[in-house]
Amino acid sequence: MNIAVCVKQTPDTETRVKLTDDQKAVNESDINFILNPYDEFAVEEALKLRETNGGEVTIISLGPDRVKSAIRSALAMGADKAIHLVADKNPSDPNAVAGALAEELKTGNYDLILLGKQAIDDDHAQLPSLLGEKLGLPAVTVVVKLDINGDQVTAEREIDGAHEIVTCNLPAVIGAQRGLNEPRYASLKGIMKAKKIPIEEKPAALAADQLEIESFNYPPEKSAGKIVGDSADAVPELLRLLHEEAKVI
Amino acid sequence: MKILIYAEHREGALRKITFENITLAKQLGVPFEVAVIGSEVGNLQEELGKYGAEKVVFYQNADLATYSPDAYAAVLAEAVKKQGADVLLMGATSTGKDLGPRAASLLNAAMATDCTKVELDGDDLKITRPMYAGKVLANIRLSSAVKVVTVRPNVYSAAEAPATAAVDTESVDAPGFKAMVKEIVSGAQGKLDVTEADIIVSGGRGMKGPENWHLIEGLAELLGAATGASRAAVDAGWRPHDEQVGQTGKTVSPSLYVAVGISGAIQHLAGMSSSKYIVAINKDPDAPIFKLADYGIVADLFDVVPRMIEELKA
Amino acid sequence: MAKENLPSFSKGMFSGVILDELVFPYPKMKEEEAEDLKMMQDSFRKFAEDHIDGQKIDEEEKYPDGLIDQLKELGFMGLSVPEEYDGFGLSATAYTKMFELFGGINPSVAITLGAHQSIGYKGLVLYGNEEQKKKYLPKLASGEMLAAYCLTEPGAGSDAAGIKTKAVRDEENGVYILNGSKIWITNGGVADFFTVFAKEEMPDKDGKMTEKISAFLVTRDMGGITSGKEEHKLGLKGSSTTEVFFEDVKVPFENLLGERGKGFKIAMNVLNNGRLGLAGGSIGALKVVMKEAIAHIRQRKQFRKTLSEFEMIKEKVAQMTVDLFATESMIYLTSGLVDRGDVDYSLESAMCKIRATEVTWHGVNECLQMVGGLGFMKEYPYQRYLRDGRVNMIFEGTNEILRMFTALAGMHERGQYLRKIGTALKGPIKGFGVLTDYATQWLKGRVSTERIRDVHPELAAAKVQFETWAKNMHFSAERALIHVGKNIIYREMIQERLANAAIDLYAMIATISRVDTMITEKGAENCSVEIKLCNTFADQAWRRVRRNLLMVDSNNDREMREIADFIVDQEKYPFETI
Ligand SMILES: Cc1cc2nc3c(=O)[nH]c(=O)nc-3n(C[C@H](O)[C@H](O)[C@H](O)COP(=O)(O)OP(=O)(O)OC[C@H]3O[C@@H](n4cnc5c(N)ncnc54)[C@H](O)[C@@H]3O)c2cc1C
Ligand SMILES: Cc1cc2nc3c(=O)[nH]c(=O)nc-3n(C[C@H](O)[C@H](O)[C@H](O)COP(=O)(O)OP(=O)(O)OC[C@H]3O[C@@H](n4cnc5c(N)ncnc54)[C@H](O)[C@@H]3O)c2cc1C
Repeated sequence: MNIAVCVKQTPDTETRVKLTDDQKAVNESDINFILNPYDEFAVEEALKLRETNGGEVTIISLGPDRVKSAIRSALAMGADKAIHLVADKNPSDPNAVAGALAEELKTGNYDLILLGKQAIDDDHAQLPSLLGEKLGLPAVTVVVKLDINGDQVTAEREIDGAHEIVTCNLPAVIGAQRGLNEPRYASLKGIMKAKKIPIEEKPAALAADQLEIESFNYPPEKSAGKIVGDSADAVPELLRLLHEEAKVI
Repeated sequence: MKILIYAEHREGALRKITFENITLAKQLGVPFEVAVIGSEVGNLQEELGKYGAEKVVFYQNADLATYSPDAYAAVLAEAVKKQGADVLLMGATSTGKDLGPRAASLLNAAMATDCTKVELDGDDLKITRPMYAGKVLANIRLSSAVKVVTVRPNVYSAAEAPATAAVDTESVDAPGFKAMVKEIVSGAQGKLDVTEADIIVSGGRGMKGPENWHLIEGLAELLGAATGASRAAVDAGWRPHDEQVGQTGKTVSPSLYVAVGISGAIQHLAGMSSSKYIVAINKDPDAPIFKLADYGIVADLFDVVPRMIEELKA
Repeated sequence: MAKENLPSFSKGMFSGVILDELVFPYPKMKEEEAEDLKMMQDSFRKFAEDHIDGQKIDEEEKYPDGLIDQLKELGFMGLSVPEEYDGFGLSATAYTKMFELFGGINPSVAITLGAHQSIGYKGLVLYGNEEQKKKYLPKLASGEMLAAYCLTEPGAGSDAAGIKTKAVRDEENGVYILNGSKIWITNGGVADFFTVFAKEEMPDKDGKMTEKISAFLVTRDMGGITSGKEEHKLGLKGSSTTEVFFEDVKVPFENLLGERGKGFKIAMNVLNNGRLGLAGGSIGALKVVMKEAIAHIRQRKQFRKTLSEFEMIKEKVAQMTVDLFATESMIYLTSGLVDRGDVDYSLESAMCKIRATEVTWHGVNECLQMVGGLGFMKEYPYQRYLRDGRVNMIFEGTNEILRMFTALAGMHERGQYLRKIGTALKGPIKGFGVLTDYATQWLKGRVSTERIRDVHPELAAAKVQFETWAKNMHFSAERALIHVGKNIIYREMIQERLANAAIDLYAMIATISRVDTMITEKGAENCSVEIKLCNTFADQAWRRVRRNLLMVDSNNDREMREIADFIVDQEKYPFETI
């Protein structure tokens, strides 16, 4: 099976996001970058499918030079090949990213395209569906279970309050959700091996962004509230406050 | 500017976000219409009219009884063109997130996901959406001719504004169907999803084990709340994945979030900090959750929660 | 094989010579290795988050099932095995950074990993022949075999030369017969590969039979090896510590490690090597505990203020930061020296171990204090890190022994120069003999210099303080040698002061070098906090150095000895109030 996994490099979940002084951008200087956690599920699923079906796993990532370390992380988990679509920055418009990725994916003859259901930095959650449309392929997003039988795909996806069982044929695009699998940790062997795999560089064919970020704000700070009490005896007062002050129950 | 609101429904019933979006459109004061896609959908005229919709088009085809993102997207893109809208407003629900980008791609539209504020700025929209799991808010603009916007549930509350809705039913072709929903498996019967719930009671590692979850469920039932969990509880196998709240779980903004035995790790906070009111029950006075909580009780949850249940029953 | 007669920064300092090219510029990891390191760290961090629960390990006094196997599979057992033997051949710097991470996440896991590779198989890496390495290193790297380092015995702790374990040559069968017992062996209950130090009879250069220490590579499958029960310890409770008994173990001749009779030197050099890992692990723990405590003081309110607003709390935070910064500077300057490969770092690594373990002990204790009663509670990690960190001042050379080593090995150079006492210095404490028997070639022909190169003006005062007090330390050492003569080996309180002064001076120069190099790279305006840390440390350090040096000449040592002797003689504290 010929599998492509599109991955993004994102700040680690612990990061306290700091803005530049003019609040026009995020200050990247202190950020620890990692492989987007949802993409780890995608990589893991690809590796598992390769283990049962044979084939190759190609990592594709679009972004500035620093994304190579996310590519390496994916390679260290066990992927075979990698393509870096070089852009001088991460585009703000996911549609532009999808366009460039689709251009690349078209040339690869992939049976399956896996990626995380969303990236934890800009949280657009658009890419799997956009790629499906641009490639004319079925796309199933937020997938927590994947079965592939010949070219028959059965995927279980999470929807609000329930799960859907979705079927389609390969080739297809799958957006991975937590729960799909337990991503393996990169072993030191994997890390050393990954170093030796060349990362193919190509310019990203990016259209102009049609989504522009004008500025950022910090969310209004919540001031610490009150401690109603230090025993169960505080419960009546708590309920009163919720009822009368907050008016939420 | 003209808005088309996509009316989301499941199992024949319209979903709350549709009404919230109607309220939003009315607030903006921009002409809007509603598009419904499917085969059979409840009483559209009455329900949509109740919130102030005047023009509704129901795109009908028996095959559309089954949800398919590609087929629905094709119909929806056509609807936008046909109804002459330049803004497509949807819910940032699992359907909206699945269908929206496909429709956007067909319309060559830029799309903003999970918006928490949509304002009019002359001829344009000024949109605010959280990024980095809510650690910052981005003020964005879409410069495409058609724009797709999905709005986070519960941010705008639906306000009744009775009107007479005219519903046109149009038969449409249903092309596509590359991916098809074969069945919907509900979690627990009639379980309310955390993203939609107005009140959420969440449990963490402090619950000690799944055998104690009857406390969370009991409290949730009395409050009419959905149940959520921290990743620690999910990872321990105590709760299903879809209950996980946080950066790598669901992002929620209910009116009331009750965190029981949850420390408030940054990744958890990322998913619930936009809740209107937060209550924390934790025996550790230093638990970071208290920094965010509006009301806290520093005590053993196994004393506090039973007492809450008792008091609420009384 | 460890090289001899290499230049040593600290030995130079004791001799009044500042070899500043050894400490400037501050060493920097190669970019490629830095990238690998980050991936390894990420991998361990992720793994630990899911699988290592420090509190649970401490309570249950064991690791969860499968933990060690998973660590093996991920490759964490092969960090210091060279790549040609299927290991990862990390540089000393990367290795120390890994241990910083291990020690921060769980000191117990760190010691299990450290006993295996910092000391357990390190002798094989340093002194093994090709066949031995081929045979064992791949298995040790994969963790198929876990290693332990067996030196300590019931009768021989600090005085390791006094071991009793015997190896008798059986020429006929080509094996050594090994008999004896070792105590407090980390990984003793789980290891299958042991680096064992034992005595054998062999002819000395005059042909007389004497007992000398040799080192052996012993595997459990040789038979005759049993492990005692797991010891119950104050800390590091997940790690295995047991006695190991050797009863007629047949060790083939080809498993002799290094040369016959050179075992003691091997034992000491392995420890010299291992100490940086321990130092790194130590400060890793302090960093983690500081993070916890800072979160607490930022939000706990008393007298309507957060604890972080009170000056005595600020003082604690600042002091541990200053000390940690300086210690870290020493450690990674030293790891850089190790990675150069052409420097004697034995004193520096001992100084790093002393300083790191004490700064951590003190720092963790202060963190515990800052959080008040909560620090005393089992649910919080403070007490656990305090307990786990305690033994760091005891094993891999107690800090007392390492202070003696620092002072005596440092002065040995000077002793050679002042010939008469030179031979005495080689004296009875055998360990130091081997560690100091290097010549002075590297000093010869050098234009003696007491100055270091120019540094950024922001650090100029610190530089002058260093130069001044390094020179004074040299004079003090020389005066002590002249006054006390060969009795210097018994004057441990003097040794201690000189060692403490040397540690402070080395920390000063390391910190100056680090910040100066940083300024060159980033500009002074971007290093304002670091400059403050450096200057504050230098200021505190030279005052301590001055005090220590003053007390070399003027002290109560005689009274102190007399009091101690009296009390020991009384066998208790004998006084009553009136
Ligand atoms: C990449 C990544 C993504 C993550 N994503 C998420 C995410 O999406 N959502 C998420 O939740 N976490 C996430 N985490 C994990 C997060 O870091 C925390 O580990 C997790 O939130 C902790 O869950 P907890 O609060 O239930 O457990 P703990 O932190 O262990 O807290 C348990 C709390 O219960 C209290 N308690 C215990 N007993 C009692 C009692 N009897 N009465 C009262 N209180 C009691 C304790 O004082 C403590 O504060 C993520 C981590 C990473 C690395
Ligand atoms: C948890 C743990 C793990 C260990 N793991 C290993 C291992 O894997 N392999 C191994 O071989 N050993 C191991 N050891 C043993 C350890 O190296 C010794 O405990 C250490 O060398 C000290 O020896 P001792 O305990 O016999 O103390 P002693 O030598 O009896 O010393 C007692 C005290 O006297 C001081 N002292 C001794 N001599 C002098 C002197 N000349 N001047 C001034 N003060 C002096 C010491 O500094 C110390 O404070 C371990 C010990 C522990 C506790």
